[in-house]
Amino acid sequence: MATKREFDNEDGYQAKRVKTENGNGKVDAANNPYLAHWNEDSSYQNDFSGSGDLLTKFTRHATTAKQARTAEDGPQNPFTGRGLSDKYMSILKKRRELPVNTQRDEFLDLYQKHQILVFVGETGSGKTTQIPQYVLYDDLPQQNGKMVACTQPRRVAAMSVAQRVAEEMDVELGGQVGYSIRFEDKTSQDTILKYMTDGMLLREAMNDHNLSRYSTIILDEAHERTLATDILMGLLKEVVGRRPDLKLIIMSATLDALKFQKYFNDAPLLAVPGRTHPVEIFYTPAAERDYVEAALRTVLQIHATEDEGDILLFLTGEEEIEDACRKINLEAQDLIREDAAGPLVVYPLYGSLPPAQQQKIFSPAPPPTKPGGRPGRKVIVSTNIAETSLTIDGIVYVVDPGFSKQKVYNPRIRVESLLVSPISKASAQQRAGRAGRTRPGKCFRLYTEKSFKEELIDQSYPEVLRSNLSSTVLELKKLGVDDLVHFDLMDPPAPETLMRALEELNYLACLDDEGELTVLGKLASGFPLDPALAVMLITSPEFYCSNEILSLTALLSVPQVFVRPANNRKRADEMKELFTHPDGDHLTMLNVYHAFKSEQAQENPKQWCHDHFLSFRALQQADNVRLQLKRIMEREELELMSTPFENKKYYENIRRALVAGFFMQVAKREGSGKTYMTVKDDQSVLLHPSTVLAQSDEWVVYNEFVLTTKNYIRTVTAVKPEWLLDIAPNYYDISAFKKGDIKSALQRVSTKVARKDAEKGRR
Amino acid sequence: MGLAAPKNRSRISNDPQNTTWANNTNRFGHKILAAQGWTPGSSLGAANAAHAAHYTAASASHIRVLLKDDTLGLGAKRGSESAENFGLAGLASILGRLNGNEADVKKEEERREKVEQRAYVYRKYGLMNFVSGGFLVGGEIKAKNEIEVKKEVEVKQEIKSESEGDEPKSKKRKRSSGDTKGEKEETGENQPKLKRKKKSINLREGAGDDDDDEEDEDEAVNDSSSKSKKSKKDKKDKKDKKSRKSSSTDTPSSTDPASDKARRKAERRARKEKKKLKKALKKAAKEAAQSNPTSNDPSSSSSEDDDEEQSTPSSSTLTSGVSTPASGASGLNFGMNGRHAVRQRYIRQKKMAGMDPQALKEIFMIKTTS
Repeated sequence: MATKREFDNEDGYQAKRVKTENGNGKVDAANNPYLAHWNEDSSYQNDFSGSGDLLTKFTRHATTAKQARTAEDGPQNPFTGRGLSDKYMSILKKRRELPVNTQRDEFLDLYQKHQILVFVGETGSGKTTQIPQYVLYDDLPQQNGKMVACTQPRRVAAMSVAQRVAEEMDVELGGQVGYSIRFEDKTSQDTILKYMTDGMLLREAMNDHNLSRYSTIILDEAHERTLATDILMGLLKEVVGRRPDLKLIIMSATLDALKFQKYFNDAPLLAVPGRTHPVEIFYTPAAERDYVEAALRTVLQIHATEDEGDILLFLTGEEEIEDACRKINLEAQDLIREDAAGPLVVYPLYGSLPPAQQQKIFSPAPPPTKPGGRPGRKVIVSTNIAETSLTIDGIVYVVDPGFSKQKVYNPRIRVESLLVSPISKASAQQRAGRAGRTRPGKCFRLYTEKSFKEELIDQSYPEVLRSNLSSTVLELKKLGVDDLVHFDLMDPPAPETLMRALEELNYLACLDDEGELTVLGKLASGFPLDPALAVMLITSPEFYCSNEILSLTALLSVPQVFVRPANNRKRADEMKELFTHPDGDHLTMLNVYHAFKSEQAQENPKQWCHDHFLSFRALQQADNVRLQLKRIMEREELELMSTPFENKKYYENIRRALVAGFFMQVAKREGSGKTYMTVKDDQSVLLHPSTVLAQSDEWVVYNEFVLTTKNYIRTVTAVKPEWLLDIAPNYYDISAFKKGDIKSALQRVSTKVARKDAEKGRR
Repeated sequence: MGLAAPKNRSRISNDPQNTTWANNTNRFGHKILAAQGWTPGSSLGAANAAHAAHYTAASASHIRVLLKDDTLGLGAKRGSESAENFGLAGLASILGRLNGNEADVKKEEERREKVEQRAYVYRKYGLMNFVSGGFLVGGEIKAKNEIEVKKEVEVKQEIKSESEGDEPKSKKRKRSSGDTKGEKEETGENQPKLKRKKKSINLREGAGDDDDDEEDEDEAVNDSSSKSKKSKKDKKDKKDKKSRKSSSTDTPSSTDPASDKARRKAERRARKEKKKLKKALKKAAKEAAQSNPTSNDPSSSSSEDDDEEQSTPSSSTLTSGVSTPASGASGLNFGMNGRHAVRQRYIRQKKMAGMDPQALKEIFMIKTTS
């Protein structure tokens, strides 16, 4: 099971700063950053009387687009009372040209008459920036001390959109318009429009089930169907019933809005056309033997023969992308040398790429080598993040091999993994649409039209169907959802997935035998971690090693720290050996972190990491995550302590604490061979070649189950079977085991332990 | 690769689907779900949900994905074209004939021939072929003719993608291999050439005085090539439009004497050709082939004409709208060196021998009518 949960994903973070301006520190709610608004009620009137509210003559939910436009035209800013800048006017002119503007009246009409509204607008229609502002002019949240929230699946989007809208409204970012993302809350008491990640809103809902500080909630990019958005939809559907004054707008970019309408009790639909150009689609006449090679040939062909315009190529993973970039570069040099084409630059793009390098994709295409020569071109080789998340202007050609890496979860063997699989029709159309942003473009699909029609599914599966749900179930329990079976999700997960989640939480003692949240469960839900990691962290003081486990948790939450470049593997392995601890990879990682924090390394950490073949970015990120987690631990009054390093139990304690969280991810060696067998699920696995562990240890805990043609377990550490029986007696209830090697081994161990205890007792 | 492929063994556990877990109804999860009113076999979610019709299979059971560890393209199957390599296809056709499935065998042979042709081009140039699948407008794919009426912008692009169809491919193969083929392919081959020539004529004809004639001409071509597809016809119409447009811009340059002479010459040629077209397409084809080189006469071309000439050959001599990158005759070979290069060449030679059905048939002593 992949417990590695990147901290980059969008679930909110409770460790964010507390609003101090009005923390009067009496009630529990006062310290809770999510309930800060409960204390603000008294201050509202004062706030708005001074701000020259020109909208007082507006009647709530009875305004017209004409009224709003007059207010927008100034001369004073209707929200601040200040004069409007020239920049505002020029932006306003552009805003009036956006496709959504023509339907403002229609929108207001539907918005006023209905509680829930589904809004469909293609990319480029201006929905994300305009609709929330239209809402402001009609909902007038400042008049009764409420706010309008607009959720985004990604942090970057929330930040950049908030920035843009603040400019459009001619206010300071963090004033009337703000954003709230994990680690960062840029809002103030004046804030009436808040952009936030969907995960943040979910976190807020955990503390305030009715989301009472909002008068309108806008769920943007709902078509992406992230886990948090899906759960929010289920939740808000209930909240809307409880709170008639709350309005809800679901915004989607694709036309499968019918499903949204049905889901929200036949809510009305408003569709606005986007501003995209037609894209011509090309298919291959026959299936390709090798999609990577075909993709490269297509890119080079386009470069040699097509008009000016940049190329976007979709591939599946980091390795494939880097490889493709290298090959394209090589071939393009040949082309340029023979003067068969203009200059060409290639940029890779994937999630784990450092931000500075990600920025490079926005640089313009290279100029012709000589004046009047053939125009230059840039090629971006990307994973599916360029499908929806990022908009790159200038793309005219899209090459789509029809694959992407997608997360799937198999509840039976408890493996969550990223696998290369065919994309959906909807994603193929999204990819093609990327070619038509600036002018008419072309999309080259490296499969036949028949394959498109017959082999691709219609819609990509939403995340809720593809993930391990144990942390989601924990969140739902915290959100007060008790009947998980009938919780109204747009796509309910498979029953087996839910069962697995419940069972995992039960074994971790987060849920009691009746399915109710325990104290430990409540505590664990406060950590933005996988439940197993959270439980390991919470119980670590019992093993006198919470400092170390804290570091380890952070390290397990970030991308791989070891770098192993293809051209320098041997040297990298030698360097890794410096940190190796014979008892396992977890301890080796811990050694790395301690070395990284040493004074010697901190002099020039970047160079040090480079010299030791470690990822500076990952370690830095781990450091950051550690700090966040530490804050939560301090708030929850969990003790931070270490066994003295000289004590011979130092490492043993850490390994025991590891078992406390990961006792469900244990494998036992089969006989004296190389293969291991996972406990209870009985899957035969091999130790991943990257492990530092010799093949001699009988029992190991693992962090990750890697699904390939051979099944591997990665990041493993040796443990003793006695610990398993001691620390997780519920899970290692020998009578419940299937007859076999593991059962008899456990039985032997337990009789041995019993005999020892008896001897001790006699003495 | 067949037998030569590397062996990939993997160990499968006794219970890869973990049915022990799945079938156990005494588990905590099962109990909790059952307590909340879930019955085995039903899916989760609100009772009588309005959107229940939209649930996918993934709501009933977890998503199953085929493990993919190769770079096989979408829709491609391992070993789908390997029959030819072993000469077994010939054998199959004999058996088919013996069984009296003459028609099926013929069809299969034609199909194989097509694949072969494609393989030839592939080996020689490493090309990618594409077939247009319409336009994506606002999330929906629309056929070409639906959109062309209003989108004048598209016209220009159309021309480039004109030779995207299947026919030019056979032409390509023909030209390089140089042997004669059946009548059917002949027409397919000559179509683009004819058109190209006509365009160059149009350019010299000055402001649209005989547009109607042109149209007639086109119709004639269309009629005679009843086999050509409808989409092709569409393309041609558009091309016509384009050429007309350019001819009107061309007027001033046609006044100088040199081009005037060329124009007359061209007109004569056009008339001659029209007659022939009306007679038989075969002859017209030949004629076109002969007159083709003369149309490149540099003295007669204006600047606009030049542009046209430059773009047309590139789109018609190469098989597809996007065409050959000039990266050597045998496709791409990515940075192979030393031992690998030698080995790769050896493998390629072997493959070539294996791909030549004639040689294989001789080896297997199979006689077929083809």
